[in-house]
Amino acid sequence: MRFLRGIILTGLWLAAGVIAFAAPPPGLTLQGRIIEKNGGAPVQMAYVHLLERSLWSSSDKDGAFLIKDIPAGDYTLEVSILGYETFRQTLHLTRDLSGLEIRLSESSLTLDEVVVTAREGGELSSASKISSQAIEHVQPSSLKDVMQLLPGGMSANPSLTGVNTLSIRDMGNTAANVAGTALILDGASLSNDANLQMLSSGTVMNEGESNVAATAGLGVDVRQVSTDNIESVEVIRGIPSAAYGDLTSGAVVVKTRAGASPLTIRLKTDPQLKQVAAGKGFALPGKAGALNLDLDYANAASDVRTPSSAYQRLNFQAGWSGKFAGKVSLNARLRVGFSDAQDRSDPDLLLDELNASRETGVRLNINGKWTLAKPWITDIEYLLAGGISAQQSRQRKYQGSAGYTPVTTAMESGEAVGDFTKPQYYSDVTVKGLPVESQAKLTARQIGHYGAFTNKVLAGVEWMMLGNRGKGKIFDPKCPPSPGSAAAYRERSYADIPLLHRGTLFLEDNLRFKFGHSSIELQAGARVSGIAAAGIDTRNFLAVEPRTNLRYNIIEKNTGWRSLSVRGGWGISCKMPSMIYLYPEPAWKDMVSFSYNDFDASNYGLCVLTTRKEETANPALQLQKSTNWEAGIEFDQGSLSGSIVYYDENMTGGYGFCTQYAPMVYRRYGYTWENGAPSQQTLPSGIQPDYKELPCISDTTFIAYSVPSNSVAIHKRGVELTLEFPTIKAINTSISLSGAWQWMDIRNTGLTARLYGGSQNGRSFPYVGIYAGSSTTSNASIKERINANLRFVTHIPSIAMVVTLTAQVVFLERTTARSLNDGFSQAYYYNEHGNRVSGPSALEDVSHTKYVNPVYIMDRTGKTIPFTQKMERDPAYRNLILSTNTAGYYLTQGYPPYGMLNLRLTKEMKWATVSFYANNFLNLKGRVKNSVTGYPADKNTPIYFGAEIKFTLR
Amino acid sequence: MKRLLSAIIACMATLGAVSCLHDTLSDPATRQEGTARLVVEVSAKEALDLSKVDIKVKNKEMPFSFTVQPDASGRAELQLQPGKYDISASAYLRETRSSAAGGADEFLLTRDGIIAPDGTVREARISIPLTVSVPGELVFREIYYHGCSTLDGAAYTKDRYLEIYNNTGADGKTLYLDSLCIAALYPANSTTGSNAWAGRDTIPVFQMFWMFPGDGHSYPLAPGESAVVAAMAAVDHRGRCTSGLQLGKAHFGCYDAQLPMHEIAAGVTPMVMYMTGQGTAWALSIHSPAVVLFKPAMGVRKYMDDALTWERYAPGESSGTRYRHIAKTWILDGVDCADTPSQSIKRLPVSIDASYVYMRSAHYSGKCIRRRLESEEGGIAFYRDTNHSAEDFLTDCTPSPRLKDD
Repeated sequence: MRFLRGIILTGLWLAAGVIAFAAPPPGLTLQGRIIEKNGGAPVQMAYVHLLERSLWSSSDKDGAFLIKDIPAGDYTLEVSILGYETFRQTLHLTRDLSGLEIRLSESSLTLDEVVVTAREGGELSSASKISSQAIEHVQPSSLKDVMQLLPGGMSANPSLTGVNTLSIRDMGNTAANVAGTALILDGASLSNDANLQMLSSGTVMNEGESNVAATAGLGVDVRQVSTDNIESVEVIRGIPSAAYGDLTSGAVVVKTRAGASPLTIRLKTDPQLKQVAAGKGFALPGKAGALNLDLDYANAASDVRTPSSAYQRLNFQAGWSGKFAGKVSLNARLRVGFSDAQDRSDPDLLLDELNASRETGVRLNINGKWTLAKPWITDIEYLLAGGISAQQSRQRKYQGSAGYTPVTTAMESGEAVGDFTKPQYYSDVTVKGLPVESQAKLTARQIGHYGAFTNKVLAGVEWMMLGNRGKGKIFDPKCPPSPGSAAAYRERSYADIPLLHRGTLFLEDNLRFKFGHSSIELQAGARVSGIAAAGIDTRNFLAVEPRTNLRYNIIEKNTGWRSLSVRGGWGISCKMPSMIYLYPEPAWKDMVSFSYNDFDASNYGLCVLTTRKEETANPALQLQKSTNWEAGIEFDQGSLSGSIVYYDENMTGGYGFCTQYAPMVYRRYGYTWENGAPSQQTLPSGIQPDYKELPCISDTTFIAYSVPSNSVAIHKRGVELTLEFPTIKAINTSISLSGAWQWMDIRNTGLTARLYGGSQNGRSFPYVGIYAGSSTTSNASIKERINANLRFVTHIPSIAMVVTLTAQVVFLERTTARSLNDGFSQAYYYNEHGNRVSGPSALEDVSHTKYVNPVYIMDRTGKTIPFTQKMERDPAYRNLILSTNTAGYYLTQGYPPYGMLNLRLTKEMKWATVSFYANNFLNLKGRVKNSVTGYPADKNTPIYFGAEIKFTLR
Repeated sequence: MKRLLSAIIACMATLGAVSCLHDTLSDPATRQEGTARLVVEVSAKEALDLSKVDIKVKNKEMPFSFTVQPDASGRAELQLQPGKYDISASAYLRETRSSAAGGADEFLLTRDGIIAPDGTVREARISIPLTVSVPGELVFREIYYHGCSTLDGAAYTKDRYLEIYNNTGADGKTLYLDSLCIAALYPANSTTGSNAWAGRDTIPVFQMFWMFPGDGHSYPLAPGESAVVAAMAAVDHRGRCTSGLQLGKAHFGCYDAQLPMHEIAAGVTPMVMYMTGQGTAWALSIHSPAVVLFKPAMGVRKYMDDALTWERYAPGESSGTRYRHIAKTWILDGVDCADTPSQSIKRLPVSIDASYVYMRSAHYSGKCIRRRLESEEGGIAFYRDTNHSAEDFLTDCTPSPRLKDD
């Protein structure tokens, strides 16, 4: 009996235990109040967030907040709101917590800690986080100026009178690297891929004119993005998460301000720029969210004496941010922008020439997060964005020496009677583009905690539509832009260019395992993208991008040696081609078959032209792809902290254009053959000739056309270092060092052709040379640089002032020109004994001119003949062989170290903040001699300065 | 008091004596150390009255020059300020209408001697052998190379031309232009640093040369007649530019379908182009071309076919650009035009042009150079040709080519 009771009791006891274990524990509640540190006023609409579980709430008008159903555990509580310092606190929740009082301090320079440099470290891959305080201290006129805070960055004078593009881990602005840098603004990627402003296939409109925007095929011109309302910038330099795509070098993620903020008016000036910006965030009554309005106007002129060359920009942004039912956050932003760049002839002259580009754009961006907090799904992030912009590029040139040039409007190959231009006229080409773009993105996240493991799964789908509905290139065919040039121009309408669709699926898993004072974080994911467009073989553009990152936090403590981590990553990224590479314009060539000019005597002229049209689309175009890997160490010893990372990026298939030639047969009326040369018959004036009755010969020339191709390969390697030294309390100064060693091997791949410009026997040269990579003696180069920025940041909280002195030193700068074919050096020369020298000994020689042969030659029948060594001595082919203009062409050229000093200052006063900067204020020219040529060069940027004042009216 | 007065008088006397002595010492006429002595000796192979030779000494740094005549033996002794000089000697023999000319390379004169361009110092004695030359039969009468401007103010160079003239005089003979060639020499501009071809027997041609067509008797030029060759566009330029030339009435036009910027009006005979370089137009220098009229001894066809002899690298180089060159004995007439005399190199040897001509007006002025009229006999003009362009040409003239009249 007692035995039975014992069993039943044990059974009940066990059952109770099981039931107790199986049933979920009751959710805990977290309650509290958010108030201001100074004065204790309640802070409304502060965002209260428990990071590990993505549970959040916002404070009401009394500052009170409430989060329910929280499982017990350790959490990081974060409270953030625009204009205040973010508050962070670790909590160990085992029971309900209420009455929590959190004091927020207003963001200002009177605080003990300010950050005016980029923050490195703490992430899975190399990323720099730049706060709005750091951005304001840099005093940028465009986003490009913010990039100088990155390791390896060089400061450049801000300028709105030239195109500003972003390029990550680059020395200068290498085209394929710029195209591979993605810009993400409030979750939506800004793309320049629908920009079709081209003069002809391979020639960008207004190319070479510095002021006007000539960015088709490159990245976004970031002059259009105003920097006044930026909340934060994150530059992802390493292997990004699978959620980011359409890039090969990295991503710049920009978030604009949302939330209540006082009215700020900013006035900025420097020798070229005048800028005015105003912004305010209104907290709408009740819990209806916040409304942000921002307006910005900038005017830059490169030379005060010629205000007719200027850039203007006007941006307006209206944004609404709010939260519904405590579950859904929504940010809607409407951006209207207008930019205008012009290069006009001096109005005092009679000449009326103009180069201009103008863009008016509207963009709507809606993004937010829906928190479900279910075990199988934590939240869903959504994005819906779209934009339309009207682009107009114009080139108006005076053709004073045109004369009566024969022109034709034929759009197909064949022979036809043409027209003559006027002897002097203005050519006016306008390209009207209307890029339209819309994108949608849905990302679902599931966060699960399993003891010491935390697992986050990210799955998403993305769709982007690009198109260009513009009128295209318009000009009067009787007033062509370059009379007598080899290439002929035709109008082009963009209406028949189909829309381009891009679709992406991505999946990523992030697993974190904590043990003791250490943790390991592993992220692995993949991204699959494809395009759908009429007329394109989409199999070439199916991108599979696996990515993985691993971080081992060896030590994670609060005292002593605070942290030590090692991390590494590997990934593949692809960049989709922009529309100019998928839908290039056909190429035309017009040859004069007959020309009779009797305008002066009898006002009569007759010309017959033979037209040849070549389609230039390349069905074999592949994706621009980059395989990156990196490894790094981060440490924080308490007083000294820093990070060092080694990266290796190998990009192949960079987009570009290659020149190709094809033979073109045409008749020449009024000519006979004499000794192998065409001989012209003189026709008398006053008698209208019948060209068909004249003797005629058949001649062959070549038509040149540019074909989109994968013509660039860049291999980058480097080491990036950042160190933060302990603050010298006596002078309130903290010292930080950021530097990098960068090495780049840039190669032009593929084949490109060139026709020698001299005629032979009255006909064009009989052979076309087809060269590896480039029709110059160098088709590859190796660039190397070691530079460092040592920053002294002096922060005096009592007078709310920050002064930064930056010493920028370039320790090593080297370039080597190379000429490669399939990895082998092509350069050679013949020495005094008549022996042919090639390979490394040819590259080191300093007393002979070097030669580079074409790989093939094409004759008038179109046959390609491989170029052999025997043909080197044949005088018939001599003009096809390229020669260097100096004997030491392939030697490594370097410069000795040089450096300069920059100064930045920000001071907060009661109603206003005043900032001032001076680049190279000691006016050090940095005059160093090239190690090979001996020519001096001034490597430092010229002295430059600017100031701004920001009024904050509460 | 008396002692003071006598002391003052003594001081003043000393001062006066010293200052007078000072004046004497600084008198340039008596200070032989201030100037440098130069001996010039002219000589000629033919019998020639050497005392009629004009020796022109021109200082290259300061704007002065003067002319002296030597004694009967051809010797002249000069006292000159040290500096950089050009010396040329010329004589015009009216009876035979021939000229004698000679010159010396630019030299640096110092009190101790002459420093040659290669740095060697030698005694201050210059010998100038004179070459006697018969006046050319075909000469350049007018060369318009400066260009002008369009009515809107842009530069305009398409209206340039060269005019060839039969200078054999009233009792001269008809000459034929067939197969004669016109070219500009390399270096294209006089402002280039140095001329590696100086002093050689052959001279390189710049970019291309143009040949008069015809079978040998197609294009006659009677004495006193001109042939105008339009360098780029034989069309009516009135209404297009400020020079107002009607080159549609030119006799010949440089036109080839390979050069799209060139134009020709119907009725103008095109020249035949032989390209030796590259380009889409004939890039005749707008400020300092060296133009020549020449005829290859073996004929143009054979000359072009023989690349082995007539194409070579620049002297001193074994690689780089290959230039086509012509023998200086083939040149019938040549003019060396310079941009600024102080920094110019010579392309033509002294026997063809002993000096150079330069325009005082700015580039694109619309002005040209014209040969000086020597005499007029029986209605036929005879122009001066002493192979000394500084003497032979007038500069900054308004272009007035003798076009076809109909």
